[in-house]
Amino acid sequence: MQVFVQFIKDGFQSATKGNFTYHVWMATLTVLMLLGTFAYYIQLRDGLVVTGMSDKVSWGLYISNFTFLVGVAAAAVMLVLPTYVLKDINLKQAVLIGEGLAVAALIMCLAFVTVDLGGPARAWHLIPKLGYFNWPNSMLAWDVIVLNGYLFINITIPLYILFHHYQGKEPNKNVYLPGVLISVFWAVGIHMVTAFLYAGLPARPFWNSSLLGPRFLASAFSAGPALIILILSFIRRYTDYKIPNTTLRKLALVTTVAAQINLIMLISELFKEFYSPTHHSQSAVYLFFGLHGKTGLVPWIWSAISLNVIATGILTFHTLRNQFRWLALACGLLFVAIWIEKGMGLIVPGFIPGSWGDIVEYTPSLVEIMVTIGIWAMGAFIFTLLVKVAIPIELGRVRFGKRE
Amino acid sequence: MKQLAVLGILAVLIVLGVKCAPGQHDEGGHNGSHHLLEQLKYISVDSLNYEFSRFDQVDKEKLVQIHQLVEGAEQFLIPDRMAEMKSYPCSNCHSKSLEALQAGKAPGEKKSHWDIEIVHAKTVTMQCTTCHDPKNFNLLHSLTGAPIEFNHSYELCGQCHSTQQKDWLGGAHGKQVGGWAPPRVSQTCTGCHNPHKPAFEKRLPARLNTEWLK
Amino acid sequence: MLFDLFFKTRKPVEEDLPQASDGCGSGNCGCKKTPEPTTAEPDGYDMKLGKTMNRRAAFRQMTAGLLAGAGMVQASCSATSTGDKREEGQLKWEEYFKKNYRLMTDEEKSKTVERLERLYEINTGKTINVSTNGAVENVLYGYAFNISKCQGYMDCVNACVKENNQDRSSQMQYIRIHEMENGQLNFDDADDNYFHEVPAEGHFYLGTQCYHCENPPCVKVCPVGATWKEDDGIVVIDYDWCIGCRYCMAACPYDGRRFNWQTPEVPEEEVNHTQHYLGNRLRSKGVMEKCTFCIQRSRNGKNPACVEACPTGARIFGNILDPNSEIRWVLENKKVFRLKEDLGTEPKFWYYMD
Ligand code: SF4
Ligand code: SF4
Repeated sequence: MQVFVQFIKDGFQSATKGNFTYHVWMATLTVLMLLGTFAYYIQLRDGLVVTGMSDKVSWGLYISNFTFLVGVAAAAVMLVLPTYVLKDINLKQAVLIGEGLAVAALIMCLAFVTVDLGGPARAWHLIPKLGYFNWPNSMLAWDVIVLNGYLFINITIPLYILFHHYQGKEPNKNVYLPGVLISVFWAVGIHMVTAFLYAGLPARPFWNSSLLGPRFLASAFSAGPALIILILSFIRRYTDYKIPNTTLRKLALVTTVAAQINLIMLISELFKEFYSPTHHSQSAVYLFFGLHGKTGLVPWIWSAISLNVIATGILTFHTLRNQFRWLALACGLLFVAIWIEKGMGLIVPGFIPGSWGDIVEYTPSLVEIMVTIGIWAMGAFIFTLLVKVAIPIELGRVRFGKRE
Repeated sequence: MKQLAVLGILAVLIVLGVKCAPGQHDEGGHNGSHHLLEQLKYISVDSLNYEFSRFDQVDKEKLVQIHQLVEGAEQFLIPDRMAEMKSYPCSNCHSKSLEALQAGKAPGEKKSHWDIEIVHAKTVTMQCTTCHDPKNFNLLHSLTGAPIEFNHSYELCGQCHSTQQKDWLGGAHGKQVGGWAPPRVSQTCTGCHNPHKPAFEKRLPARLNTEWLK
Repeated sequence: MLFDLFFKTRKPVEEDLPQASDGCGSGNCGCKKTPEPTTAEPDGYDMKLGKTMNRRAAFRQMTAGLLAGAGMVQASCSATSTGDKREEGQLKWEEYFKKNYRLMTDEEKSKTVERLERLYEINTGKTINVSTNGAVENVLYGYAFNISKCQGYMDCVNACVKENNQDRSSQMQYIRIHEMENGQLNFDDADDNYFHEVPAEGHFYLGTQCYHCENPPCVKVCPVGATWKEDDGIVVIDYDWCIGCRYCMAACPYDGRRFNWQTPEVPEEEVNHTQHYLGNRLRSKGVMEKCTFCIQRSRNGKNPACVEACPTGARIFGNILDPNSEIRWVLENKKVFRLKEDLGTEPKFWYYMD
């Protein structure tokens, strides 16, 4: 117990110490978070009317980001599976960074869902037994379970490993490996459940597709590892944490394959929507070409698709992919492309045209954007903290009873 | 060992999937794969004892029973129009017969009801006396001259508008009065249609739409 | 399970903070202790400790304890507050912890109704009457809409807004009337936003609202069970249970639901005081609402306000289980159709023509 208290204390110490850039970075994030909090206060005071959402487009930026981040959270751990199967990479590094990312992404997910609620004060109605939990009927109820469960797993495993390393002990593989395995399956679970959330609605033909789940996975496995590649490159450049080239290469391979599969699925969806367009293709028509002169999403989706194609192209050529500058570029592009595609390109067009063919467009309001930025800042903040605490322990700089 | 763990997790997922798959957690009990109307045929309701009736909403005294009973319905009531008409009986004013009235008109003297314009079929088909009994102004009459009371104008209208009459008797035409519970109370033809100008008039909607007011 | 454990270990601690459950914290707010209540039922404020508590009560008390210091109950604590203010705070506090309507006992229902009525009285000085009438036995409500008859007058919309206390500031309307060109039933080219003399030449009118689907997708998706189908087929929402996630709105194929994006406003003199818990009682910000077939009327044998207001008799309402009802005759004798039938939602709202 005493060890644990000391662990927390040391963790706090290493989180608060850092060079000037680190402090500027954290201060910036804090300011963004405060701005977001202020915007959220306005939203709480006046209601969701301060957002760009309406009865016609009743989900917007918040749920878009939620959907995207579930993917990031899932993919962060999914990269553990190949690493584990391929066995030639240092597993623990990937596990730790990946799960740290998953934790941050999940907290952002939960935050996005919470800010989207009309009555966050009544959120306790979701607690089973105390409230009324419509399980197993409601996919949202499933989502609450899987997200929280996933969060729990992803907090306990790194904590266990770090705590052991902190004491200078080797963590017991038989303890954490099953956990890692479960979290891998759970990762698929959270993403499939989130896809089912939309795919299960015949009211919205744009979502009501059996390809939605697999496509979610494919896009997540490209966006997630892409983000991790960026982060790992950053970490190995600015810290002493050694990340071998092979790790990045393997991750790049995962990203590439997933991006290619994602592209194939995109083509198959486009074929279905446009080769023989039915009334159900209206949303896709609106998304790609605009309907009745309303073209709000057209620039978004085409930029997403071009970025996607360029990034996948870069990744496909080994020569380019093996150059880290190109790799980083491709990863950045891919990340942005999938963010657009999963957010503005998936959630919003599901509502357009509306149930009766009416086209009401959606543009996020300033408040919405500020809250969103605030939550992203919070995610970055949490992730930075986690990494900041984890790396010195992993490097052996911080140990129980030993301080530099 | 590892394979076992994987298999175990898969099994759990499958079990969960199956458990939630059928989606048969309906509350109503009227549900299922069958079409709702199809099911209605098999639902027999033996007791329909409501604690309310349309007489809660409308004064029973101001209603009259119609002549033709609909099969199955014990009662079919309509508003008592004769009690509502301001200057009924008509003979209070029109004491002479139509011929006498027409004969004794001074030059320039206005006809009674000069302001009524008939916009109801063509004049070759219809004129005042097609419906009004020229011999007894207190009554209407059928095409064959049988007397019809003002209250029972549906008998008159139904001579031409038989489809509408059928719908009205059944319940597809004519506004429900006093709620949905038994007994049947409906508006009669003249409750909604002006017999001299039966089509509904053009007018502005009762309100602006939301979008307009923004 | 987890929660059981949690509360079991917490309970003894409760005894250490007797005033906490009082809602007034450590007394620095200068308000008097809540007077001994006259009612026999314990509430969040006078709950005697050491009594056996159920999980909810424990949760309530614990939260009260935790939040008292955080000033969450300011309303009942402020030094300037009058007795009414304090009572209001108390009532709101109680209301906050009430159950899902479906789980309430009759007694709990009448308690919450009492609170709602009292709250309204405190705030406006006027009285409302909130009913909790249940479904009438052997009734399944159905609705038929005659598209040959509707003239687009929109009297129904007015009546509905008035009857159901809909938000005036956002001009919420449950009913939409779509003006369609003859010769096609095409919503894409329909105008639900017209304002000119009606009926327009060569057009017909079709009204939509919540169809009270027999297999309602909106009910299935609600994560907290705040919306459900009653035994008489009316799909209702518990406005105090809804968390405002709007999943039901995404799931409804018929644009049947409306969300309170802001605090709804109804001038007091326009409020319909005859209310139903699941019907037209006043809603708050951030909750879902929709047509309830005027549950406060239909369960008393009356027609919904739209049916009553329609000057053309285009709207027919009734019990589809009653073989002698008008609605049943329409369903059996007219050529009826429903919209988006392929979705399997089984709306209890049919359209027909003369
Ligand atoms: S019309 Fe929409 S809101 Fe009404 S019951 Fe059906 S799905 Fe639910
Ligand atoms: S908005 Fe309310 S009623 Fe609709 S699904 Fe969410 S909690 Fe349920």
